[in-house]
Amino acid sequence: MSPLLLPILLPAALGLAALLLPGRRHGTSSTLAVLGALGLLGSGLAILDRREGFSRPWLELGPIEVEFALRVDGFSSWAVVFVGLLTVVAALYSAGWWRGRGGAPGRHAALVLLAGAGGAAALLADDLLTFVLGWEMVTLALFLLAIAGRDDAGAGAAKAYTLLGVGDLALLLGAVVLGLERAGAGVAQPWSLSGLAAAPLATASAPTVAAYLLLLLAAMAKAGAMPMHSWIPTMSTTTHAAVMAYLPGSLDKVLGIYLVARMSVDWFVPSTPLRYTVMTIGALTILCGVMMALVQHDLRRLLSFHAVSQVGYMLLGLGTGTLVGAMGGIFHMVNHALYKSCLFLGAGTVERETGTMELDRLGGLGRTMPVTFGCMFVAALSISGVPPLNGFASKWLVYQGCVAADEPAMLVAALLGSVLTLASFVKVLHSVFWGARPARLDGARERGGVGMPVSMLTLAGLCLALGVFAAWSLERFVGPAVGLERGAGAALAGERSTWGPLHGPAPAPALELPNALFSPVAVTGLLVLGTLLALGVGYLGALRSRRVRPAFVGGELFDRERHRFPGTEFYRTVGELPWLGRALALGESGRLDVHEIFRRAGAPVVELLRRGHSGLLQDYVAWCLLGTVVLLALLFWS
Amino acid sequence: MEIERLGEWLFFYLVFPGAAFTLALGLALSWVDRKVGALVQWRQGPPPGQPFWDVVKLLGKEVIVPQPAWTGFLVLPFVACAAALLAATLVWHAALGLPGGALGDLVVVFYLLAIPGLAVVLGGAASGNPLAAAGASREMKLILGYELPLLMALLVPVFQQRLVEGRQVAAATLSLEGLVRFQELAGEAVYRPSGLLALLVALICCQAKLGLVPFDLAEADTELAEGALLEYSGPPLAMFKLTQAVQLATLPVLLVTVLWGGVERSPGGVATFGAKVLALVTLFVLIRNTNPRVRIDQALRFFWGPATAVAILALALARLGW
Repeated sequence: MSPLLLPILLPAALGLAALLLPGRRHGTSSTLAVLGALGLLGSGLAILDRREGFSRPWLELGPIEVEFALRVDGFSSWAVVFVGLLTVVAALYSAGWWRGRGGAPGRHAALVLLAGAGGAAALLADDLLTFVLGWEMVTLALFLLAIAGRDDAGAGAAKAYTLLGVGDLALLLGAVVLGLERAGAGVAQPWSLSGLAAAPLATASAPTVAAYLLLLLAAMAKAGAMPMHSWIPTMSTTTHAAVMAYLPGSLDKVLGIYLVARMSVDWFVPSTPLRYTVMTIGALTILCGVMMALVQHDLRRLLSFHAVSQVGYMLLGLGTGTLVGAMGGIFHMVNHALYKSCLFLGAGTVERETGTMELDRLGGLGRTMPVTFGCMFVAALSISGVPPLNGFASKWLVYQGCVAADEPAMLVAALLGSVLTLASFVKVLHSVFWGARPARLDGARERGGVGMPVSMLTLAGLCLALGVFAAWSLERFVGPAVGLERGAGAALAGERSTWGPLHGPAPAPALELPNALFSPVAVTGLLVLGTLLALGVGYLGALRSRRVRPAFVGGELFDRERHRFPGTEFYRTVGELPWLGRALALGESGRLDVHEIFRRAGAPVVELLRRGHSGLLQDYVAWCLLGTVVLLALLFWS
Repeated sequence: MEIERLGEWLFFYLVFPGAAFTLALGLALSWVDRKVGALVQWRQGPPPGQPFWDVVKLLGKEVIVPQPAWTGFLVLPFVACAAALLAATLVWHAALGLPGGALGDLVVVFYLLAIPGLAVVLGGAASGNPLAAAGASREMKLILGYELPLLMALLVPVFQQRLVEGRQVAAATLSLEGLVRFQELAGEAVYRPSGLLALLVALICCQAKLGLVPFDLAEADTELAEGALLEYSGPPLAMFKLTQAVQLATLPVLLVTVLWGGVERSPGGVATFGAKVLALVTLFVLIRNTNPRVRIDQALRFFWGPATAVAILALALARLGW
């Protein structure tokens, strides 16, 4: 059997076992989930850096010959390893989370593994329709996981499935348009992706542009770019934190951005208007997403809007059409999956212990939940792009991409987005971990065994490591994704050859000026050294002797229940600004939500169809007969 | 960075133009600030060594930690100082054209300079005191407000179209060395309308970044009793004071470097550069001493309204080659 099948079959088989095993005890299914995830990770590592293919003819539909074809290259092998890692983290965390709780851990484990297998299938696919198949498996797993959350999870899950369904339909249509267009041009294997990568299409003809836009729409729905994002915040409030971390937080982003990366690097040579479309969607997603996050009161909704906002950086980077920007976008996809999973998992831990996600009702948990706090702190600094964490490194590359593409407006949007993100996370840290702790939360502790802290610590550790050793990450797995087998790490050193356009030769620079560079190891080293020296000076002074006293206000000890400054007060001023406040209120009302707009526009049609559903058997039989007659008539006609 | 550069950079960071030099300069400039402020108010003002002795005294004072605080509360001021000093090193390194290759560009410096403000916010929030939290909230909103126009102003020299050897080109690099070098070829950015507007906007934003009146809302002695710094004492407070001094010695240098050219290698060049920096510091002090404190919503509206509009105008003019 080809080693390429293992990352798909192993988790799928173990997932099936978890679903079917009679002993539906928590321990068995959790073990199976972790084993399946490790299998995915291990089989991913086994095919790392290999170059091989596997194909089996499947079925023929008229002009469409469907093959089941897989192929692995530098980009996809790393992506599979990464998905394996994320699956392991999700499985480990869930193992801790289900401990001592009711529910259906077997079903949960099976669906997580199904999503992992589907993700691997899409990443390894060498055939457009195989790709669609893997992609669809992930959507299905997401829906089934989302609906299993709370009793009121149905609406959010349905909305997610609707928007993702529109995306999947667009993907299928795009794939068919692309395949037929290539078949019409006389290409030998019109559905093969490696064939497509060998001769990227110029987006000159109308069908190619249509295919590009359809695929882009699919990727936007999957990754959650605006305006296809609204399923993420809606489902977030009713879905298991590990599911949020695993699917909308990481795996869906990886798939969506993988598709955009393949499109802009390998499959197409996007024309300037198309590049601008991608960049504009990216910039707007960054700003609108983060502004919406700023005024949220529910931690999970807030995190979801950030998950939306960060997609903007990836699209913006890829849309610049420069090597450095594209590397930044792809690197940001990796980094985002790490810190956003960590944040969602931390939020899940907080919710497990306190039973609420309302920022108003939380506070002062930093001392009783130190691991969760530490990990979320690192992840929050990382998502805000504070050096030397990984989020800064990838955003830095995106900024350079904007300069290389000569786009000041996009650069300002990207930089401003970071500042706003930082502001939003200051609010989160303050309202969850600092401030005064309500007496109700005095008993909140980190329970649930080692699975939860280990998974969060892994993610936070990776955030730090990938930031400090960003050059290594670029060299190892980001470079191959943009076709640089060697020397991608030099992008951080300002090497001009890594700053050229993705397609075509690099133009000679107008002036020989020193280029921007960033040396994360040195900056980190000097920062740590400086801090230690400053602390040394402090210790030479009076820092040794400290006295702990209660804080007081106005000369009196204060009541921690009444005299609080809740984090939700932080940015009230912003919400009260003249027109910005009104825009935010409009956004929050849901009237700008695509799902809502189409729901309203389509209401008459739905109402008409609904009337046909009388519930009477004879009506349905009549409908079936009518359909058969129409079909027969059509067949005779042709 | 190669290992042989390490010794060089340790010297840059710890001695010149980093810690030792910038701290001395910062304390001297904060004396200028206090002295000019005193003169404006018909007072005598402190002797030159006063800021230094203030810090030394604070270093020896007992540290009182509020009960709900977290360890980071004590560590943050030290991180803030280290980051501000690193930013100062990078800016001076580019301004002076020192050897050894750079460690970071304009974006890195910008973020390093954001760390002190962030540390004040996080420290205030972590202290558990509601007044400090109110101060932290104000500081964060202020950061939100001024970062947008400041960013755009600092990007003006990057995108400004200039005539070099008969061709219209822009620097198109975020490297500080690159910007200095470009201005040597094309002339200083500030002598064009776009550059002048950018300097004006950046100046006002830096006033807020330094926490000076009229934008001293986060400390606001009379309303919040030092706000975010309320619970700090002893060496951590000394570190925040030092950080403020370092920023006072860094921000004007950054503005001069990217908008008004680096240091020319001659006694005259050094004197000119010093005069430019001193001129900006004097402006900070004069604005500080002649204005009342604004409210936070007024500050936000100002920065996101007129200041941003002018910054956009500057950026547009820069693209047009003005």
